[in-house]
Amino acid sequence: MAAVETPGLREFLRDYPQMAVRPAAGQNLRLKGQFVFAAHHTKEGDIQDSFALEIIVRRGFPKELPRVTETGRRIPRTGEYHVNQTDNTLCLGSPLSLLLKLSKKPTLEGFAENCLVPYLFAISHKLKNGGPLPFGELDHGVDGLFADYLQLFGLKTREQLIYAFRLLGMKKRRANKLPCPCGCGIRLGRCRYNLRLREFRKVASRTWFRSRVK
Amino acid sequence: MSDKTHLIIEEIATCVDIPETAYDKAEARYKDLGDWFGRAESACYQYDPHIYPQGSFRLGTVVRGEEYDLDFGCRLRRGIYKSTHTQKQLKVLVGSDMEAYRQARRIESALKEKPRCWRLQYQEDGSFKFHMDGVPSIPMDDPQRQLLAEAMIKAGSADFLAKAVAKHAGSITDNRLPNYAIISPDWRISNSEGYALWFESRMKLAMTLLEKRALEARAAKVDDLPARKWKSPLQRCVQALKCHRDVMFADDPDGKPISVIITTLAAEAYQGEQDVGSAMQNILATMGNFVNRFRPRVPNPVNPAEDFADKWYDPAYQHLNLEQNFWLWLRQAQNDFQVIGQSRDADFIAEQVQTKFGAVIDARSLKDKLGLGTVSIITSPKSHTIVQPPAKPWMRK
Repeated sequence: MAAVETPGLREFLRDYPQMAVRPAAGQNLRLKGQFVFAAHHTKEGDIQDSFALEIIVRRGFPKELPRVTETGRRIPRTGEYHVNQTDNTLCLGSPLSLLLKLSKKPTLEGFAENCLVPYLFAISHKLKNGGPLPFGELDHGVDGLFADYLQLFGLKTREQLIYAFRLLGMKKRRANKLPCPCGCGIRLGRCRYNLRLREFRKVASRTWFRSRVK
Repeated sequence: MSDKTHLIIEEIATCVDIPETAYDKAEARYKDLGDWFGRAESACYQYDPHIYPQGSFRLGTVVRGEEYDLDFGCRLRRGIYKSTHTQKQLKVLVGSDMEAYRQARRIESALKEKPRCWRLQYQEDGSFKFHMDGVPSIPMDDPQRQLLAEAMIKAGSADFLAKAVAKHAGSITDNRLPNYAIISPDWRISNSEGYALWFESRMKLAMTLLEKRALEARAAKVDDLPARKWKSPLQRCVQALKCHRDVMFADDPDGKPISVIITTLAAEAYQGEQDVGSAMQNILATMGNFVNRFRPRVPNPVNPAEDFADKWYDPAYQHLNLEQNFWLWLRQAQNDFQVIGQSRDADFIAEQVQTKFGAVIDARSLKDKLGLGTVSIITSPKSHTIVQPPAKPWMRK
């Protein structure tokens, strides 16, 4: 997909006019500028704020997540604010959670709305009021991922989760013949859990799941 | 875009246009060089030299920049033929007069040889820093001109225009060619003056407006007025688009869409709109349609076999993503003009004009010009409602 054909680019530029396309390396799309937004949450109230951002959208979008960096240095580059220490990208959420959010509206506009704005809302809230992030946060590293994915998959143990990922790394036909990860004792093809697992196949490829198990 | 867009684009174009004094200085340089080549002692004198401006100074589409590029053609109209001279001999001949000129005018920087031209680097003159690129050429042979005119007609040009334009076609030198230093009939074709005439023919689609401009300048007819004083909607649009391009590619100047592509596509798209707002709206909406799917992608209108976009598919330039950059630039420009045109917030417009075009305009005077009155409508940011539980921030270890 050519960068100019990135789904939702036109709407993104319209909605965030202070962000603009900038030349990028390779086939990536690079957006840079001031991301100005207003957001409302029933419990947490209203926030209007702006952050200087750089967003790199890679060719595989929306199956591949954009990388966001805050260039204005308003967000402290620490674990407390969920800024990755290696490359200073913002960690908006666990990869699979974000892919699920993105799958509801697989466009750049959808990414801004469902992945970026909630994170910035929470950060802005924390910068103003201190305290923890209002919508909760995950532990760093593998522990945080397990906690998030166990909840997403509705499973109880890490072993079940790893097994579910293995099944998602296989072709449907093959996986259906194997025991279901929910612990029911019957094969996946016969269990209702199959329907739940199928939802994840829509948001990421078999290779993606296989690479995560490794 | 609103009916006020033309006022904003006029503001941008006025802001990015170069001052009249800079044009005067450029003209003085062209004339001085012409006089130099016309002296009986000059090496080129016996070959009937003709010095003429080309490029954006000729078209009246120069925009403010750190350094201006004054291109000129040096056509030797008599006594040099492809059958008697090599490209190198012509280049050296013109170079010797330019070197003598450099010494006479005490220009410090050495004369620099470029593939197709000689470059004279002037010292900074006040805030006006520039260099002059002189392209040596000889007139094209008659049969070749005939072929060129036929190719133009075949590509859709009017008969009279094709013939008028082909008259100016010339053969130029290029030191990258293998036959550069040997007698050969294969020289590169260039027709900058023909291109300027074609560009003028596009501007003249708004003839009523240009006649008004000529009248204001007390010129008997449009052609008596130099193109830079026409300040036509097409020129204004090209200037604004070039500025937008310069700002967008400030970090990556090698990757930017080149001026001749923007100028050609804008001129092709232009339909004679009388006001710059409608012209811009049409140009932005349709200029992409004039990019061919097959080669030549962006043909030179006065030499249809030449592709202005040849670097888009040249393996040596693949790393610059030139085609992708063109389409991204166009998308961004379409968006920015639309956003500015729809806004009723003078401060927001001024901010956008500065960040997207590098032009500083005063929000207060803009408010008056746009008739926005005392009550300004503030542009509000995109509003969201967070309903679903958001993803919880995480971090790699």
